[in-house]
Amino acid sequence: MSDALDDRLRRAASSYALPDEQASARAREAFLEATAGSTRPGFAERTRRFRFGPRLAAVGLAFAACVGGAFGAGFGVGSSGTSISTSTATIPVAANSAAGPGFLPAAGWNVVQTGPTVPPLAPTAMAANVPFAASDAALDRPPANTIHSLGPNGVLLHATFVRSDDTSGQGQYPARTLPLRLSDARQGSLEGFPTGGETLRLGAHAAGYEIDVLIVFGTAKPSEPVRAAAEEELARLVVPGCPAHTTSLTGSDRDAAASFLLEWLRTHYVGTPVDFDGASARPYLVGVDTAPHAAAVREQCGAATRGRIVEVDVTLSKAAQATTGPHALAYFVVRDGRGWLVWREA
Amino acid sequence: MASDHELVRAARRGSPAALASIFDRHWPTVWRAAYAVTRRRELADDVAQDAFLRAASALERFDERRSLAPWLARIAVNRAIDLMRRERQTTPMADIEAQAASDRGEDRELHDAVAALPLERRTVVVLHFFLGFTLEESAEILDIPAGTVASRLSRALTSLRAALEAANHV
Repeated sequence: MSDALDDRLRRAASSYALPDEQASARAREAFLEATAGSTRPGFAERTRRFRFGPRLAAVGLAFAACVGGAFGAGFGVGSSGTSISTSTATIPVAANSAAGPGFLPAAGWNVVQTGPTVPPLAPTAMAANVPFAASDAALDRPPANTIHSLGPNGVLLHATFVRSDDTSGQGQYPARTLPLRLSDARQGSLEGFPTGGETLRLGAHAAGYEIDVLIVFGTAKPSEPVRAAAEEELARLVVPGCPAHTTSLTGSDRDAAASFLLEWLRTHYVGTPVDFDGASARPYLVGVDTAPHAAAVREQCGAATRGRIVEVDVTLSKAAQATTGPHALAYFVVRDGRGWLVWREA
Repeated sequence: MASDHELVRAARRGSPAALASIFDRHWPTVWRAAYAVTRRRELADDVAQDAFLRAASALERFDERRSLAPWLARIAVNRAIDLMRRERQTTPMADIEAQAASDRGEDRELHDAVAALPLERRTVVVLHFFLGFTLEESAEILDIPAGTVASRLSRALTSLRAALEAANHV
């Protein structure tokens, strides 16, 4: 439909109003200040902070240090110690079915993880063979100070875990099996954040997660033993196993699960309360009903969870969807001896 | 230069530099999208800034198979429309017109005609012709079918031709 008016309109694009430079500068400054989390919730804080902040970091460190092997039993894991297998094995959750993804504890390594999060936060975990800088342990910012403290034998691994919404199994990263391997990593960087040492990035679609791992060495040319140590730690990256010790559910439990989830979201969702005005929740008993994300559960846990998990799909208000997108938020809810709990987000 | 998606990934990691780059790269477009709806500079400032904050808080959910600019513009347009629904009751239209008129540069006649279009038609014209979004991207931004965008554009062009012809015959 190109004609003279079309052309005239396209030419006029350059003279269409532009933002005022001073106003833009003020907006930029305010935006970056807000997203740095210094004055009000913003990007960096809202997307990287986890719900319990430093408190959970402390719990994570203590947890890792104290319960060691028991913690490991809480994950689906493809490795034990330094042996590297080629397929993902799932170990039933024993202690904490709500445990998030992270690194298994090991001698000589410090590990910390956020645990399960609620969108837009993503579970994040970090491991380093040097002590974490106090400012980095909360996982709410790039671990700059820890990286700068890496000596020639130092290694830091930082991983973000985003649930894939694509039930076809084709995510943004190549499909890989756990344990991840250093040979699959590529030279990379943390944009805008020079590290000084060799920096690798590894993306993987594994066990229903889009996993983005940053591996930073303390020197540009790490020794082979240091690389081997990094490989071993990378092999300790694990994702949550399947819920265990949960009760069998019936159709009459669907609504209770949905009510629980809506209340849980009001206190866990990082957004504004108005996002839930007019929100609706639709529950599905996985394995019984046709749950939209049942395939993801089957992929991870097989058929053992049939009738034990309720998928609750929450549709937010139209206004809230402007930021969350039109898709429903989907969560898996289970019930154990203590009551309902959120296993994970879809 | 890093791609949008590379910046998004870095921003998700908490990189302030990546976040600043996203802002610098898309601020003008997001602001202009907001201005297309509000026709008031200070409102467009607020809407665009709010859109970036909302986008930042939802960046983890951004689908990387899609383009970043339409997603940001969509947030801004939706916020602007919400605001205008409230503002419409308190701000005299003459004030809006006076502010908007001060922004028109070359081909003021055309910009006046665009500014006089009803909101729905004006928005598709600005998104498609001034900001360069495709019909499909405009549809995504406005959350309407591409066919609806096309029909609104067609009606908008008809209105513009009529307005420009009338102006030339005065």
